Amino acid sequence: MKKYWEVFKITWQQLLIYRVNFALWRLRTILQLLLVYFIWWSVFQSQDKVFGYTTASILTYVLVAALMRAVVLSTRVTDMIDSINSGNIVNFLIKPLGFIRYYLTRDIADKLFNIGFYIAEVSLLILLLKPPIIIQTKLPVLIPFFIATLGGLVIYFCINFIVSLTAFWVENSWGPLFLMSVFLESLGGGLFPIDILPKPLFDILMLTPFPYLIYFPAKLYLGSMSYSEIISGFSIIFIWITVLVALMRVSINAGFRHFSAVGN
Amino acid sequence: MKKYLKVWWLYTINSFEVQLNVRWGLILFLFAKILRFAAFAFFLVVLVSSTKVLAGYSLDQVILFFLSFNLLDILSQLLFREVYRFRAAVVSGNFDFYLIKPLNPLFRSLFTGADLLDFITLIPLLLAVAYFINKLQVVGMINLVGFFLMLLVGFLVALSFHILVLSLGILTTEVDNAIFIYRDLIGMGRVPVDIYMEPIRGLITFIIPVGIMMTFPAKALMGLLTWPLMIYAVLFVSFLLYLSLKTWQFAIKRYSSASS
Repeated sequence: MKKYWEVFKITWQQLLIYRVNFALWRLRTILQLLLVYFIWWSVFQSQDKVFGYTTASILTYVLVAALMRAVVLSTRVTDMIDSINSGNIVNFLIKPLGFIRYYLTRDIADKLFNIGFYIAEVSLLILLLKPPIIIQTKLPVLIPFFIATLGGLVIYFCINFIVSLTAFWVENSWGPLFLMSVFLESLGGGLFPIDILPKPLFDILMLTPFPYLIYFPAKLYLGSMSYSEIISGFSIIFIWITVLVALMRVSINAGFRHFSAVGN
Repeated sequence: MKKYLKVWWLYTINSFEVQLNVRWGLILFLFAKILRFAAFAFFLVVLVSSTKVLAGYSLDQVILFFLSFNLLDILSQLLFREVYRFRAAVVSGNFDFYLIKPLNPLFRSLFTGADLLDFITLIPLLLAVAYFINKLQVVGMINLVGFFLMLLVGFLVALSFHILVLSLGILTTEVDNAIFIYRDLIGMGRVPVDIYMEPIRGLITFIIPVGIMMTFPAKALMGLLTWPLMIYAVLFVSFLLYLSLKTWQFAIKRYSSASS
C-alpha cells in the first residue's frame, strides 16, 4: 500500500511541474463550461420550460455534468500508450508493482487534483453568474448519485485502459481515443442531457456505456428519475463493469504475451 | 513566392502520405470529426426547432453561424496544423534545422503540415455553406462582399493567433495547452456571440476577437453587420497581425538551442 501512496505523491508532483500548463488546462475546462452554460442560459431568456427542464434544473445539470467531467474524465491511463510505444512498459515485468493498481492510483491522484480546482472554479462562477441552481440535500438522491459516479469512474477507467492497451498491437492508439472522447462529449451528456433526443435514439444510447459517465449521474442528482429508470441504469452499469473488467484482464495478458523488447 | 508554393506543395504531399500510412487511424479520426460536427449540428436543430429562436436568430441563421465557424476552423487547421507539433521541435532542438535552411522559419513552422482530414471535410462544408446562403436568399452583392471580407479578416485573426502561439512556444517551452486554449476560445463562436451575457459578450467580441472571427462573417452575409464594425474588424486584425509578427521577431531573437 505504501508504494502506491508514493505513486500518488509523485503523480501530484508531476502535475505541479508544469504549472502554467496546468493552469491553461483548467482555463480550457472553464471555457468549455461557459459555452454550454450560455447556450442554455440564452434559451431560457425567452422560455420557462424546454424539454421538461426549468432554468434551475438545466443549469444545475450543466454544472453537475462539468463536475462529472472533472471527476470521471480526468485520467492518466492514456500515458500507457507512450509507455508501450517507448518500451518503458517492461518496468512492470521486473518491478513489484501491479499494472492495474499503478494506473488506478495515478488516475485517482489526477481526479482528486482536478476536483479541488473544479470546486474553486465553479464556486467563483456561481458567485459571478448567480445562476438559479438546485442544491440537492436528500440522502436517497445523493447516495445513488455517488454510487453512479463511482460506476462511471470504473467504466471510464476500463474503457481507457482497454483502448490504451491496443498500443501493444497498433502504431497509433490516438484514433480510437479521439473517437471515444467525441462519443462522450456528443452522446454522453456533456453538451446536453440526452433525453432531449428522439426516444428511439435515447433508448439505444442508454444501452451503451457512454451516458453512464455524465448523463446518468447528473440526472440522478436532479432527483427526477423514476425507480424503474434508476434500477435499469444501475443494472446496465453493473453489466458494463463486469464485461469491461473481464475484457481488460484478457487484453493485459494478451498484450504482454504479444510484447517483445529489444535494446541495452 | 513560386518557391514557397512549391515547397508548400511538397510538404503537403509528404504530410498526406504520412497520414495515409495508418489508414484505419485516419478513418477513425475522420469518422470522429464528422460525428462531432453532426452531433453539434443535430443538437442545434433539436434545440432551436423546439425554441424557434436562439438569441433572436432562426434555425437556418444559427446553422449558418455554425457552418461559418467550421469553415474558418477547418481552414485554419488545414493550413496551420504544423503549429501543433512546434513545441516538440523546440524542446528537441529540431528547430535549429528550421533556422539554417533557406526558408523562412515562420513559414516552415506554420504551413508545412497540412492535414488531409481537414481537406476532405472542407469540400462538403463549402457545399453546405452554399446551400444555406441560397436557402436564406442572400442576394445582395454587398452582403457577399462583406461575407468574404469578414472571412478574410477571420482567417487573419487565426493566422495571428497561431503566430502568437508559436512565439509562446519559443519563449516558454512549458506551454502545451496554448493552442488548445485558442481552440476552446474560438469554440465559443460555434453559436452567435449574442448568446453570452455582458461583459463576456463584449470581451469575446472586441478584446479576444472570437466574435470578429466567427460571428462577423455570418452577420455580414445576413446584412446584420454595420460598416463601422467592419472597419473596426479590419483595423483590429491589422494591429493584431502586426503585433503577432513583432512578437515572433522578439521571440526568435531569444531562442537558445536545446537538446544534446
